[in-house]
Amino acid sequence: MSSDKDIILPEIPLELGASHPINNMKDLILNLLISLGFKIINGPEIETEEYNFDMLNIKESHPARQMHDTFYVNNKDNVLRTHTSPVQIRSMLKNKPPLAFISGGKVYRKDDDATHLPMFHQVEGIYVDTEVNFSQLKDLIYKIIHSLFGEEVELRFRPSYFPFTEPSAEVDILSEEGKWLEILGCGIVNPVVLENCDIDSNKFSGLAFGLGVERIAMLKHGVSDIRDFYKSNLDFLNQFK
Amino acid sequence: MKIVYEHLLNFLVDKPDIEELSSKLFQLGHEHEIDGSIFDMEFTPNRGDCLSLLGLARDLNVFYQTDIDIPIYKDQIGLLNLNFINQAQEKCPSISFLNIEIKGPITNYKDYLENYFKDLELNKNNFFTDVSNYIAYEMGQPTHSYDYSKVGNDITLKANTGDYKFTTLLGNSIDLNSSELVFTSEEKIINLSGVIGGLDTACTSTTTNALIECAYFKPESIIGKALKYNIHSDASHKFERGADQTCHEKVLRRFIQIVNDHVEIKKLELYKDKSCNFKETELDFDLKKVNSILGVHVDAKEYKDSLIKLGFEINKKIKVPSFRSDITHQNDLAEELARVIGYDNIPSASIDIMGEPKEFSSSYEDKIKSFLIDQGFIEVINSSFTSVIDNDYSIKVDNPLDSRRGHLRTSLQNSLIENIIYNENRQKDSIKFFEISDVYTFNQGLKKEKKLGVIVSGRRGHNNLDFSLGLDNKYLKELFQKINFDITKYIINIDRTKFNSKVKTPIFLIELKIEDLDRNIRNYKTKEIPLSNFIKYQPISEFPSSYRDLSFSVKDSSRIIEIVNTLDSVESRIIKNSFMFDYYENKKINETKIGYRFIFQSNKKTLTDIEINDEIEKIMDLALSIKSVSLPGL
Repeated sequence: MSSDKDIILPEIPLELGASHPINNMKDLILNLLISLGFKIINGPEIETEEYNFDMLNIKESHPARQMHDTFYVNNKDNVLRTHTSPVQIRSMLKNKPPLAFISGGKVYRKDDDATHLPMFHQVEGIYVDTEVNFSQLKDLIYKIIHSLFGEEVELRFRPSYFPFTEPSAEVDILSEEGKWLEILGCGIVNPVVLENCDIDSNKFSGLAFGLGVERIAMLKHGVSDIRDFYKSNLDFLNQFK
Repeated sequence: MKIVYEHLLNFLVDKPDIEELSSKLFQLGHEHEIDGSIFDMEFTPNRGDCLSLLGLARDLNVFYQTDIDIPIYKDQIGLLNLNFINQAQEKCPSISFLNIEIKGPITNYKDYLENYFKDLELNKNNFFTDVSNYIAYEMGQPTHSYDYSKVGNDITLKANTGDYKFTTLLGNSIDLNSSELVFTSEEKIINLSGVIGGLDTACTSTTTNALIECAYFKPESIIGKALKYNIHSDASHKFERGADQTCHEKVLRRFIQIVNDHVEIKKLELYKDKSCNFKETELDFDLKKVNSILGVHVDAKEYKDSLIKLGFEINKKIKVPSFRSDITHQNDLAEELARVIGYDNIPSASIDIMGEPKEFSSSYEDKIKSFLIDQGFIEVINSSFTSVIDNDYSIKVDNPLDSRRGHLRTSLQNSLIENIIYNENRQKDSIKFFEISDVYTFNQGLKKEKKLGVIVSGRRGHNNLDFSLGLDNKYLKELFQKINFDITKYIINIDRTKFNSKVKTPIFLIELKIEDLDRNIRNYKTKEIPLSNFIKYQPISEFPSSYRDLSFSVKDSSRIIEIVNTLDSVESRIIKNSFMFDYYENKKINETKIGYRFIFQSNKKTLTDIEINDEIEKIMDLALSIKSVSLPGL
């Protein structure tokens, strides 16, 4: 047992714990966006099809609405949200532009392999004002990616498709190994979505973006299997102190 | 979809090399990988029009001179007297049938047809089916070839009534549900429409009289069918993404041309459903709006040229081509212009959102996290899915991944206990976890609660002060006393008997709504949650660890720092961790006892006693070389 005199040993350092690396990354991204002027909003993980799909212009024929992609609960009355976008819909219905919201949290899709899990985390943002355009969206995305991956990182914008944005883009960064890696999706808010939220699309326009938190964390920390984040292995989690 | 580079070049007058073509395809939004001379394309779901050589060439027309004038049969075709009844015009607004009878079998294919199978390493079936498949690759429109001698002259498209055992042309038997859209003839189902035809009416190598069906199905009438019946269907993939309603005659004339290239045709007759009511989309020419969406200043000529190259017609209004059902408003046109300019070529313009930047303010959830992390707790995140119905009002997942994930958890308890057992099985003897998560129940409405779970087991720590103390009831009470919260009523001593673990140390758990801590945590001074500096993680070992304890006696107290520094700086590829777990000064005999634990683990294998003992001996030699240090009992 220890003696209470003669302190000749170095002081025992207070052993700090650690935030989970995914929450850590989520908070880092949210803090970055707050510093750019966005405000955090939250919403439920169990949603209606109306908010998760219809209001976002995701039509019944869209593959995402099928039973093999989306989890349904309560005898198909509700879905586990497949993205955090419905939080933005709820906020757009309550607030009038200009508005700049971000939301982060758990989302659910019917996937389960080394790079996809049925539960994962997203951070999404939306900015609606008069004369918001694609050039400004690019500026914002540059700021986000440069903050996360450094000013030197090379990136490219590719046309893509999301029902709730038009034009839509996916953004890749060039890895040290010379491979393009997909980082985020973004676009100009589809005017149909603005109208669904009683926002005059002739007067206002918006930009939106979404990042997969696990994807960013895997790249930043060099984790190759997404499932490692959720084994609660002390040897793994202790590395992120 | 796989597209052969050389096949695509046949449609391009310019002959770009594969890298240049790849770069242009990316600019247009057509993601792909290159495997040899094959583009493995991943088209976005709105671009069904690109699922063919012709479709892709049409899009590449903005960069290259193209030749998309495919040879077709141009002579008159007689009318086919077919008794076709379309009972599903809403789902299938346009359909045609071609009867084509040939002289004798076909032995050799022309180069273009032969190369399609060879270059894509596809198996041939029979002549008519092979032509169908080639046309889908070349023009994007699915067709289905029936052996006309096996089909009656009455064909009906309708919703199936009652269950039906249907054998596909691949020989698979499926139980068709009622209300599926099917083609029937003589009271039998001959085709799961838009997905796959039946075996009984399929063409074979001896077929000389074929009936070719060419239809447009609305995506919503086809989506999910192939998956539901576990069928791989190129046709349904194309219909789900949108086909061209107006191309049928051209496609069937192309079909005839290909047949004609191979064999003499005895008979040709065409049936066209008269109900076709395709309505063209027209949009305003509003360049100001398009420029404002993109934040660019493109002039009218450049805008017009871009759209014309993509197949749009421009007069006073912009007429959208029939194959672009995805274009419905000005934002869609803006995207077309952006693709032509290149997203990377659009300049960025400074953005200032909502004026002044804001500061991050801590919620009480952040404060609770910060408090627990300060006390050495590790945060975990567990799955929301569980096999355990832990509450009368727990929510059932209608379509779970498997039975282990059939419900949503309403408590964090089971997940946290699993975390403890998992780590105990990996020789961890001091575990302090917490989790904060929303949980949901349903009782006449959805209810959400944000819960905090805290679980502890084993030693309080690995340092000499905490090593012999347990993580227990007392520890938790003292912990929450630091924020003046009496946790007593929330502490649960978990019954270990039902768990598969050899460890006997007690497990204590706390679970409460985080709002219960609101008053007490409100004034906790939050240090910024430490954000990791992007440590490159080291893969963890799944091989068991072993430990060895060494207890040294030090007679000369001035040597203590030296021995501690020496033991702390021992390096070995198999030592995973080491710490001083005991420190005791016996002043009567002027002796200090120092206990050290070394934990060994390999990333590659289970270590043997010999390998561990070799390392221990090296450590002992190192320590015993220091004056006045001995190992009692050695």
